[in-house]
Amino acid sequence: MSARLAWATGLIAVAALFRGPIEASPLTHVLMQLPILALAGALIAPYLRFGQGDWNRGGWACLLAAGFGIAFWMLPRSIDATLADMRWEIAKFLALPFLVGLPLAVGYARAHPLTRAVIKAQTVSMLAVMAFLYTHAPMRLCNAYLAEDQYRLGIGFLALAFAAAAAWIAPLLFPTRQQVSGRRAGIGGIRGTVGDSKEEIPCV
Amino acid sequence: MRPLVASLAVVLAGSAVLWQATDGFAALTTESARRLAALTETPAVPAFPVETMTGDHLLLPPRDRKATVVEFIYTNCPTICQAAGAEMARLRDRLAAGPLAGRVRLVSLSFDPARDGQAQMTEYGHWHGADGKVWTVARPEAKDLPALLNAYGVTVIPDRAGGFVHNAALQIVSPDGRLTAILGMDDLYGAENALGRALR
Repeated sequence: MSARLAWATGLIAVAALFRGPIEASPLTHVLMQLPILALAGALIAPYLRFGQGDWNRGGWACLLAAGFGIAFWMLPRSIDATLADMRWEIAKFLALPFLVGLPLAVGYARAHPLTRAVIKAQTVSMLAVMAFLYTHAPMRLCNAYLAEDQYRLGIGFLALAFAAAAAWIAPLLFPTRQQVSGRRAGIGGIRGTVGDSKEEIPCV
Repeated sequence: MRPLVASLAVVLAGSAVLWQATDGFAALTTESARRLAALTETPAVPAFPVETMTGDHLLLPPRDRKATVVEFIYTNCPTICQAAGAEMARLRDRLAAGPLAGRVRLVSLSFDPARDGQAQMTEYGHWHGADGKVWTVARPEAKDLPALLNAYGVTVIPDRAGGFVHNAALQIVSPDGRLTAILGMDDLYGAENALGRALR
């Protein structure tokens, strides 16, 4: 239990201590620092007993909150503002863990497998859209970053899109021993144990 | 029922925040937000003392009956500013031939006052055809630079080749010292319209 807390604290400390070099490039700012902060929030989710009530059935409320949080911090002007204004920087360090990482973890944990599949597909396609946007925008989208760095961020999004797609397809091509033995035994997959779903759904 | 209510509340709150953060989904970037704010809020820009290419000291924006077009430069800028200088020359010619002749002042303002002395400003001015009267080159005092750039919403970053990159634009300042429009360097038609409105 306390290991998670230590990890979360460590991640936030790293993101804060090295924010100078990390924020010098949009690639590390957006694709390293923001995910690190969100991950810190996800790690502390079990401590807070947050989102266990009926209001979060299926994880919808939390997933939606995380979605809005991600949309907000994907705005180029939000990123610009964190570099120009210390209050925005502090807001980022609070919002990413508590309004993105935490609700995403809590919401995903209770989400129906189909919802999860939609989220994964949506993630891959949004990463690809961001990759296209940042490699093809005719103007600088952040006043604080050079056009060549903006292009690198686009390539980073593209790499991440491929990585996410590969990571989520891999289990279908290379099933683990557990999944294989499950199939041999005639079980369609893991049943009824995922999320809030009471139905029996083959876990794809 | 409760999950639905909670989700709807999240959607409402989230949409409101995004609406607020993007000026009603009109501005996703700092630059578009800056240009929109100039049109809708017409913020007053404080007057800063500047030294011109002819050695005059004046306040920018001056409080007289003329509108002012401010562009930001640094004189040893290799590429972009040369194109920007050419656009300023075209704007001057366009204005001189139109109904606003004699009512607009053009200022190329250096954000590198440490390196841009009198000699550099004069050379830059002569190179682009700035006469020092209708169109002049000027530099602020180094101590005013951060507040000046902030007032106009300009961000200057090093380009890793010894020069700078900034969000270049034509800033239109009305005779009463308000930022009334910000336009792309090549939007001369838009600049003339904005100047017409600022002078009305």
